[in-house]
Amino acid sequence: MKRLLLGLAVVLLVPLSLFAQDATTNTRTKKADQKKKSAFQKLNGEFQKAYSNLVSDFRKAKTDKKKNEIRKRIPKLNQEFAPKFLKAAEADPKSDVGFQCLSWVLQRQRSGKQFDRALDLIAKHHVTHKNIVRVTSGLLRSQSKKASKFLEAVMKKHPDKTVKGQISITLAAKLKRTAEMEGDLKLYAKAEKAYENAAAEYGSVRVPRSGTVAKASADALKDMRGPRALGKIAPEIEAEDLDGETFKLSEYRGKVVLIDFWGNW
Amino acid sequence: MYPHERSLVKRLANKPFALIGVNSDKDREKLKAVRKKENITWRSFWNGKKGTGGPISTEWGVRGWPTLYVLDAEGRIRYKSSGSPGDKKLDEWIDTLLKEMESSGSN
Repeated sequence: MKRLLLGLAVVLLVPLSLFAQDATTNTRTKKADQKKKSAFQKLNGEFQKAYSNLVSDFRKAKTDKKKNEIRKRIPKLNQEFAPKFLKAAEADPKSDVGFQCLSWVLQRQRSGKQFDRALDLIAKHHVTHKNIVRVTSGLLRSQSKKASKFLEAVMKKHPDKTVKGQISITLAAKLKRTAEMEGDLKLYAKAEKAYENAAAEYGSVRVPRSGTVAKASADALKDMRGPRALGKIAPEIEAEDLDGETFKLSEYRGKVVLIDFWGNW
Repeated sequence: MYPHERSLVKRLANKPFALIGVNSDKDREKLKAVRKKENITWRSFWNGKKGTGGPISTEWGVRGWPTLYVLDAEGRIRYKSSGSPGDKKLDEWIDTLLKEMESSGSN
């Protein structure tokens, strides 16, 4: 009888103690998470402060030389902070704070060791994150070879149709951009197909700036099938130069011509 | 400003190459002062008083500056970049097309 009571007591006590331990762990996790959240907020605060110092220096600068010197410090600031955010992310890459730190790196860099590392970690832990578009939309101009692979992985695994739709446009745009920069007509045709497919499958999905996937696709295809598409003979330009004299683009036929749309603002 | 453009014009002075700008500053007079100061030796079309909303950039679908188009000797659009592609890439494009001209004997 005593043994039975003892046994019962043990049976009753054990789950209680487990519950108690669970509660403590939960509190510990919450506190730890809050600590880590401050790590991102802390770093971000430091960065914002340094950045606004640069901005105020820029405003105070009186010469063009000084202004240009300050402009050059912006990418240097990003490079200075990227490893700090990466380190904070590596402390707990799975957490939401980890995601925030990794996103920071991917939004401020376009390639390089830290960029690749951040991409690897986000691909490993956050491919279905609800805010993944924060990262994907910025990958259009990335020169990293991992960027397209990453976009394809998110498209495959993410459950949200809106995310898939937006990425389908980013991927098509990347193909178009690469084709134009490499002078590759085959890739250009591939990009056209990608836009067509995106519209067919995700037409009604909303896309920032363009409205819908269908509209973004239509705009791109209009450009790719119009008179200034890759591979077309350039249309004529006939206009005044800076001194008011009229001249024509066709005067330069027979030469390799670099047309540079520029401005001094 | 524009050191690579200047060096291109210099390097290719004796080659069948032309750098043509399309400028979108609203104030043509101010621009002439910049041209002098920065020693901008290449010719530019002026996009007009509407600046970035002017006719040439609108027709060419330019939405960001700089935007570059490279044409071969036939006038065909062979490369394009929105934003600068970097000095190395720019040199690659032009040298490729110049080589093409030399090997097809169209000098």
